[in-house]
Amino acid sequence: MNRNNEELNQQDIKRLLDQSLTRIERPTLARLHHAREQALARHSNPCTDPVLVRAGHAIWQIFGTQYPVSRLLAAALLLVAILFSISAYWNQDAKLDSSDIDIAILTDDIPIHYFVD
Amino acid sequence: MSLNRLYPFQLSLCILLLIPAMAVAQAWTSLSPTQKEALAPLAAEWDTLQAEQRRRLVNLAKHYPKLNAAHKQRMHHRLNEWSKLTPRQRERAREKFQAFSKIPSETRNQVKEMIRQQEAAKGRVILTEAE
Repeated sequence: MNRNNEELNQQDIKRLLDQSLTRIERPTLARLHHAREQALARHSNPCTDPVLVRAGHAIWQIFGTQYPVSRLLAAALLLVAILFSISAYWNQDAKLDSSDIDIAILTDDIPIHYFVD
Repeated sequence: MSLNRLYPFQLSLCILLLIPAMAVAQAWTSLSPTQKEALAPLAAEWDTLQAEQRRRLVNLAKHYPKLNAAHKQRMHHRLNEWSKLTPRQRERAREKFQAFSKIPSETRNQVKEMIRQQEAAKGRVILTEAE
């Protein structure tokens, strides 16, 4: 008797679970399916990426999936930082290039010490 | 690792991290033979020079192949003295030189003649372009 009850209960549970599965909304189902695929992919392809890629991937997963706007913002900020750094580097280089004057001083008739304080 | 695994975020981060590496001072051993020839008088002290000064000197070395023999010799002769100046002194020298270049050529030649006489009195000879 007890065993029958147990079997019935198990079947009830299965039935309930199946029913609840059909009631899950399509977007939730899609997310679960996507998460399952990702988990399987990670399982079959264990951590061959460099540390930086894994770290970036983790950040992407945390912020990218939860806050899509933050993901775009982070990418935009990074791009701005890169452009700013490149611009600063080239400006600095241009500022340092006084070689036209330097070569003229070093090869002129007048010795350097006449121009030095 | 396939290329589609290289996400833009990671690539951008790598580029950003590489930018400071471009600004690192060049070691003497990394200079080209032409640069080494141009900056030869500074070979011994090169690695003690500031990064900014090295970059300026590397830029300076670009002009070396275009100089005639007399100017090459003069540049070599003056490089040590030039490198020993403080950045402020070099900046002032540039300002003075530029100001001097703007005065009329007649006045400039008179000044040069005066300097030549002073140097001759001290036993030093200044070679002119013609010589």
